[in-house]
Amino acid sequence: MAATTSNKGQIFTSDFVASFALFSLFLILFGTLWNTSIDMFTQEVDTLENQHDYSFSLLKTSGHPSNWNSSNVEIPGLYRHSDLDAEKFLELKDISNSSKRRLLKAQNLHIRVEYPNGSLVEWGGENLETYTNSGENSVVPKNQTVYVSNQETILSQSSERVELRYYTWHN
Amino acid sequence: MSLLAITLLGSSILVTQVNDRAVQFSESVPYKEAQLIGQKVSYTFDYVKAEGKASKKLQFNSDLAKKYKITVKENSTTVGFDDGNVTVLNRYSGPELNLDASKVYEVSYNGSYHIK
Repeated sequence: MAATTSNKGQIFTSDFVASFALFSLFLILFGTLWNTSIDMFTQEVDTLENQHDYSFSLLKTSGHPSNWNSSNVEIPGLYRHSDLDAEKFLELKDISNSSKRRLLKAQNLHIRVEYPNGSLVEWGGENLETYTNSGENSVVPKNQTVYVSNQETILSQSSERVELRYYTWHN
Repeated sequence: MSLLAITLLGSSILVTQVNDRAVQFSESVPYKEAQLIGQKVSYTFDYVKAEGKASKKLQFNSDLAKKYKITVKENSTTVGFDDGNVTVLNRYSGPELNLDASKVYEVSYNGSYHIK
């Protein structure tokens, strides 16, 4: 009753080889597809993120011309020397939405000036807040990627400590 | 045997798809790089104009995939490569400038642009 070798359990059957090959193939393909997708996604994010950072850096300058207003603005910098200028912010509010999009190269944006406790700063009877959308669309969306930058600064007119917050997002 | 045949068929389809995807991706690399270069050039020129006295170094990645021809014109920067070009808006005003992505520049503005 000695068992022959063909009756013993064997690891390397043809089914095993085929299934192992199939598994390995899927593993390699998944890895390749994953890496490619991540690279593509990262490049897209880099472009949008750069755009946001560049726009915010321009907002933190004096702009051009340095005493610009809503009718002659080329670069809408909101600062005067190293402080935030409320008058420039009010001029920015007067610019049409399409011009704001063009000047700041953002599809949707929301800019606001807050006190450290989060309440909105008012100057000349107006809120220091502006956006490119109206109604519900002006609200910063919760279910998509929103780029946010903020800078603590001093309000030039009142010497109060405030924070400039800048949000951009794409549809 | 049939399992092996299915494996081979499946693998050939997947390999083709991965290859298509890789080609698509490699074709998009110069476009994306050109876009980032265009953004950087436009931003640098806008920034020095907005800051007045500031000067800013303009330097690009040393391992770019292609050679890019950068042209700064009134209101736009065009970055050209073998298969196309990308245009990014700027606030530049002055004579047309041709830049080389392999070089480093120092850009300043004092009523007009200066490039070293």
